[in-house]
Parts: sequence; C-alpha cells; structure tokens
Amino acid sequence: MNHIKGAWPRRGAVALALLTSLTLTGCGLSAGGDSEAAAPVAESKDVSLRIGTSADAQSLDPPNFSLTADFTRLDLLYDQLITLAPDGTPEPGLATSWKQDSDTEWTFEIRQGVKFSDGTDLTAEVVKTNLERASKAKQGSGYLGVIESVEATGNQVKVRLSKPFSGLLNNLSVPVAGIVSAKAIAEGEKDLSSRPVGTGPYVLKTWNPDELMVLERNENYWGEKPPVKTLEIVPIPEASTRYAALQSGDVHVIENPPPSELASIRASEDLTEVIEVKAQPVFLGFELKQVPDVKVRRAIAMAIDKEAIVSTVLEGVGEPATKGLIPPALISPSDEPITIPHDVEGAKRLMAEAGAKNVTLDLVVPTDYYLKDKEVAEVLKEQLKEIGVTANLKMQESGTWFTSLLEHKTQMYWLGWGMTAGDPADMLTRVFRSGAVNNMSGYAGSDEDIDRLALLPVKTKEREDLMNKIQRRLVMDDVVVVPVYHSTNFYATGAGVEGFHTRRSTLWDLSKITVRQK
Amino acid sequence: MLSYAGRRILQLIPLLLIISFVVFVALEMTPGDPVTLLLGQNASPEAVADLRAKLGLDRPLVVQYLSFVANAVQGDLGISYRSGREVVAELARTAGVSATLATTGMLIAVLVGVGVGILAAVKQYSIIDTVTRVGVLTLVSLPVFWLAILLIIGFSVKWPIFPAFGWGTYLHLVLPAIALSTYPLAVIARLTRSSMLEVLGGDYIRTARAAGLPERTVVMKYALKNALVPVMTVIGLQFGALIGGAVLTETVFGIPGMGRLMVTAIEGRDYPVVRGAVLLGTVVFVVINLLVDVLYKWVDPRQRGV
Repeated sequence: MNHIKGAWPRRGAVALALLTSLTLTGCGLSAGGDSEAAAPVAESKDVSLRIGTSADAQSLDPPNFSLTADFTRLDLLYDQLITLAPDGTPEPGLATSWKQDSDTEWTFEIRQGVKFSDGTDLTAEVVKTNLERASKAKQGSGYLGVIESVEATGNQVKVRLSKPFSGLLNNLSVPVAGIVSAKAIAEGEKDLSSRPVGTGPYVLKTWNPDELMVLERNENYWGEKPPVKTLEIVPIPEASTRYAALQSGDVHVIENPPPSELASIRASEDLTEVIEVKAQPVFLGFELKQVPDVKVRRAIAMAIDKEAIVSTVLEGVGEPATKGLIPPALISPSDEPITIPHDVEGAKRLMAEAGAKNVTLDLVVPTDYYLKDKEVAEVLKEQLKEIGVTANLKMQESGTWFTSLLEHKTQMYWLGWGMTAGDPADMLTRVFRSGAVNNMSGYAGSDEDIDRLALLPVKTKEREDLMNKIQRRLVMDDVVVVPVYHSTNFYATGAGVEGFHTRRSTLWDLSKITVRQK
Repeated sequence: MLSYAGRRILQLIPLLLIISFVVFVALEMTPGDPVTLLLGQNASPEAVADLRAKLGLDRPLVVQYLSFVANAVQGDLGISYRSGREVVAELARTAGVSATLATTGMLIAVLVGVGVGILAAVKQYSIIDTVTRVGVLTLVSLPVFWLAILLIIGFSVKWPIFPAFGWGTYLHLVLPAIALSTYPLAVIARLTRSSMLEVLGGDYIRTARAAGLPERTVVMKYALKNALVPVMTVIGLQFGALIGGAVLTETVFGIPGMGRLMVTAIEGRDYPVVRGAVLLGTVVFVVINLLVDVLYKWVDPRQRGV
C-alpha cells in the first residue's frame, strides 16, 4: 500500500482499519497468546478439565430446562432427592430415606446440614417449594405432574399423588427434579436459567453462552468431592473441529467425535475412545393404520440386519438390539431373546404369503439427530429392497421430523427414546399406551398391562416380567417396532486423561478422572 | 448527499416491515412446532396448550405480527423461547463478534484482492497474472467449511500456531477471518483485474504516459481511482455473502456470533431470535450498501447529480 498515491483509497483503507480496530476493542478481544488453551496439569486432587461438547446449555433452571445438553450441567450444579444406581435402583440423595405409605402417598426424610451455594439451608420447606414448583413447570410437569400436594413437617416431606405411580422415585432422580434454593426462587425465577443456586458438587463461576462455561468445585459439598476442581465446558458444534481441538490439546475430552475418526482414535497413542451404555433404544416404527398387515411388518423386521448396521455404518458405536427394545442394562434378561432374527429368505416367503407385491412405504428420518441417521436410513433402504419393499426415504430436519411423527404423517419412522429416569415403564407408557401424545404408531394392544406397571414397585421381578411380556408383544407378536440398536455415549479423551466415564442418559461421571502432565 | 442518505434510511422502514412479515409467514409455514420442540418427548398435552397460550402462539398470525411490530418499535424484540434471555441482549452479545469477524474478513479480502488484482492487470499475461487467475478460480470454488477444517488441521493440529476454535484473543480471529475472506477476495481480485485492464487501455492513461509521468503514478493515481468504482459496488454486495459465510465459519470455529445464534434458533424454532437476527441482518446489509453508495458518489463526480 506504500505506493498508493491517490488520496481517497488511502483514506478508505484507514477508515476500514479504524472500523476494524474499533469493533475489535468493542467486543473485548485482547491481543496476546492463547491463554485459555488447556495445558495438562500435574496429576493431583485438584485437576482442571476442559470438555468440548456439541451444544451449549440453554437454561440452568432444572424444571424449566430446554435441551438435553442442559442435563449434564444441571447434574453437576444440583442434587435431587434420589440418585440412581447404575442398574436403576433408587438410592439416597437429598432424601436420606423414604417410605411408601399407600399407592399414592410417599414420605421422604430430608438430609440435614446441606447448604445451597447462596448459604441457605436445605429444609423440608425448601423441598416442598421445589416439588410444588416443578410439578407445574414447563418441563417438570412431564415428570412430576402426578404430584397433587406436598406437606412439610419437621424434617419430613409427605407427597400425595393424583394417581398411583410407582416410577416416582425414578422421576425424582432426573436432573429436572434438582432442588433449587428457595431464596433464589423467591428472588426471581427468570434469573435461575442463567444463575443457578443448588447444592450440587459444582457452582457456576462464569458463563458466556456459546463460548465457555466455567464450573468450580463446591468446597462445601455435603457428599464426596470430585477430583476436578475447575471444569471448563466449551461448546464446539462442528465434530471435525472438536476432534482437531482434542488432537491439538485445546481440550481434554470431547463429546461425540466424528465416528469416521474412530479408527484413528484407536490407532493413536494419545487418544482413547469412551463408548459406554446409554439408555436409549433406536428403532424403526410402523404407523399401524397405514401398515396394517402384521406379516408385512414381520417380513420387514426379518429383512433388517442389525449387526451389520452397527458394525459397518455405526462403526461399532452402538449395541445391536438383539435382546429387546428395553436396554439390557435396565432390565433382567428375559428367558429368550426378544427379537426377530435376520432372515431374508424367510422374509421373502412371508411377503409372498401376505400377497404383498410392490410395497412402497415412506420412512421419515431426522438429519443429524441420531448417530449417522442418514447413512443408517440408506442401508435400511437397501436391506428392505432385498425383500421387495421400497422405502421412500424422507430426510427431515429434526424439528420437522418430530412433528411429522406426532401427526402420524408417515408409514414408517426412525426414533430413539431416552430413558433419563432409568425406568423403562416410562417409555412404554409414553410411546405405546393408547391415547398418549407420543404414541407414534397408534398402538393400543397393551394398555391394561402398561397401566398395571404404575402399581408395581420398581425393580421387582413381577414388574420386570410384565415389562418383558409387553416388549415381547411389541417386538415379536404385534411387530409395532423393530429395535435396531441401543445407542451409546461416545466420547474421546486426549493425552494423559484417564478415568472419564459417563452415566446413563448422557451424564458425566467425573469421580475417577485423572489428568497428568505430558 | 444528506437528503439522499435520509431518503435511503426512510426507505428502510417499509423494507423492514416487509421483511419481518415475510419472516413471520415463512416461520409459520415451516413445519415443526416450537412448543413441541421446546417441551420435548415428555410433555403432556395440557402443558403444550398452556405454553402455546403463554407464548401467544394461539393467536391469529396477523395479531401476533402486529404485536411484534408494536413491541419492536419500542426496541423490544421479545424473549428467546429457548434460553429465556431477551432477544436484544442475545443480539448485542453476538453482533459485535460477527461484526469483528466480517470486518476483518472483508479487510483481508479488500487489501489482498485489490493488490493482487492490480498486480495481475499491470503484469498482464505474465506468470503473476496466470497464477492470479488460477488462484482466483480455486478460491471461488472452495467451500468455506472445507477450507475452514483444512486450516484447523494445518494450523492448529499439525503446526499448532492458532487455536482450533473459540473466541477471545486476536489469535482466535486469524483462521476464521482467512476462511471467510477467500470468496470475496477472489471476486474482488478478478473484478479489480478486469476493471484495471479496461481503464489502462483508456486514452487519458496513454496521455498521462505520453506526458512522461512515472508508471507508478499512472497506475496508482490515474488508473486505480477509476478502476475501483465498480469494485466498491461489489464490496457492498459481498458483505451480504459474508453474512451468509459467517454462519458456516462461526459453526466450524465454534465462535459465539450471530450466525451461530441464528442456526441454533432456526433448529429450535426459536421464533423471536430468528426474527430479531433477520431484522438486524437486514439493517446491517442496507446500511453497508448505503455507505457504499454514498462513497461511490463521493468518489465518482459523474454520479453526484443522480
């Protein structure tokens, strides 16, 4: 530019440069190095950890959460009355004990000596305020709407339900049921979405949406304190960038690496994959009115090679659903596997028997919602083609897809169902009970059994047998759905990071993590 | 000049009304219900109806639109369905970031693009010219997200010079700004070259040369000033493309800007945020083009009477 002699171009350039420098200062950019990069720290009890996630949280108010991404953060900031053991058994949380007084009445003993991050004490009154609020809240009502009234006396909370519901304890363990400081609620519910006040193992230090969330260990935590002192959560929406950030050491752990990189993660000395059970079956469902012939549905089920889909398309990131619709981790195994085995010749015979020729069915699939959903759909299409069924793939953006399903606008659908509360009865009630909003199939063949689940105590043989009976009917007799795989939590950790685990339904287990110097 | 600018600003009002209405109708016609998406799989039908009423989505579209306009003129663009934060605050948080990114990208595009264009024109048919023409074609054909990932792999993983993602320091700005600048850079370089070639063939240039003026003065003072007039128009238009490119760049580099805000909002059918972002985008685009037009008149005396 030195050679430019004319007056205005130089002025233009100066103006542009000035504008840039103004905007730079305006939005708080500072000169200098990448001070935020996560250098591995020496192994100690006080490690700091940087996790790259695919989405940022939206709301940190438990009963008014917005996305499943909020769950992981809520889980760290709040406690619930109940916690769940890995197999779904309820264990004490902020409630030290409980008893069921009748089908619709429960009494909880509240833990003493627990403080919220604003210094107030946890009391039975606070729990009452929370349960009443959650039962009417935007999201809370979906889990706790069954609560009719709450009474606090001394150290006890008595909960009355509007109808019998044995899954109450499970629903009280979900992050949506996190107990919030009553003082903070009184001061303004609107602020809770960005200024959480809980009793959890962490407190929020800073949060710049879509950029960085910093959590600090709650040094007054009543339970066992986690080894990670400072937890930085950085949302990086693009999977390839997340992976690059892990490789370059900018982050220690990433959520959902690109599955195509699994081989290179395995080949790398520094990186480790973490693939762990998540309670979410992903299945092909039929709209029963539009696909009324059970023989055709069974033939389609026989045509689907679940193992091939998991091993080739998903590259092993998932578990073929060869034992049933309900994730095996959540139920004692039934005597025989609940599945329709892959049998193309048998499927062809069945199609001939049904007199079904030139069958064309719509299959609505979301894009980028479940792991490699587009590729899975393409393979399903090829597998169905072998038995003479043409699947007309309708790839829809996730918002459109879910509405299509709710409005029964398709013959076949692709859907996964997360079981956050660890109680499969919840899915059976919401997806397969007639009249339920989410009964995308329009199924009505198991109502009586499903209703009985609400009366039987959780984790009893009687209840599990009944659930197995229902899922056998759904999968094998009536062929309402074809469970294809159980999705897994998929993470990768970088050099020197060990012991990162997940808990069911996408929560993090940071209790055993170590981060060591390179 | 002032009355011209005033007139243009006034024209913005009906334009914004039209755009906001189009956005309203488009969102209404897009499949996917914000309430269902917001409440997720566990919602009861009562909760859905309740929230729909709370958000005012049960009212007729025209009523919703009029109340939106009434609030918007008072500077209230509503509250995000998703985060519960004010849309104005969300835009304030992200617009500065996007502006920084877009301005830096444009600065690189203009400085390099014009420079390369001049050089290629002055040295027509030389190796520089050939390299420029091939380079320009390559840059125009590169998808932004692909180039972005390539830059990250190269300069964050292989040679860890710049951070792979995020925002906060000048170093964070380098890779995204480069990725964003390539397309406008190529367009500007190509146009500068052809425009310079045209001007350099003019009679007055021959006269200037015949008068014995140094070649540098001829090129930089006489030719460039005229050659840049069409380039300026393109710069204004390219800002529009840059806003589009910013959506991809911000997503790939994990930058908390307006493009990313908008993508998340569209996915979640967060209507107030989508509307707010589109309106702000429109204002920015119109204002930038207005600035270019004003500049244009200032530079080119022939335009002043128009």
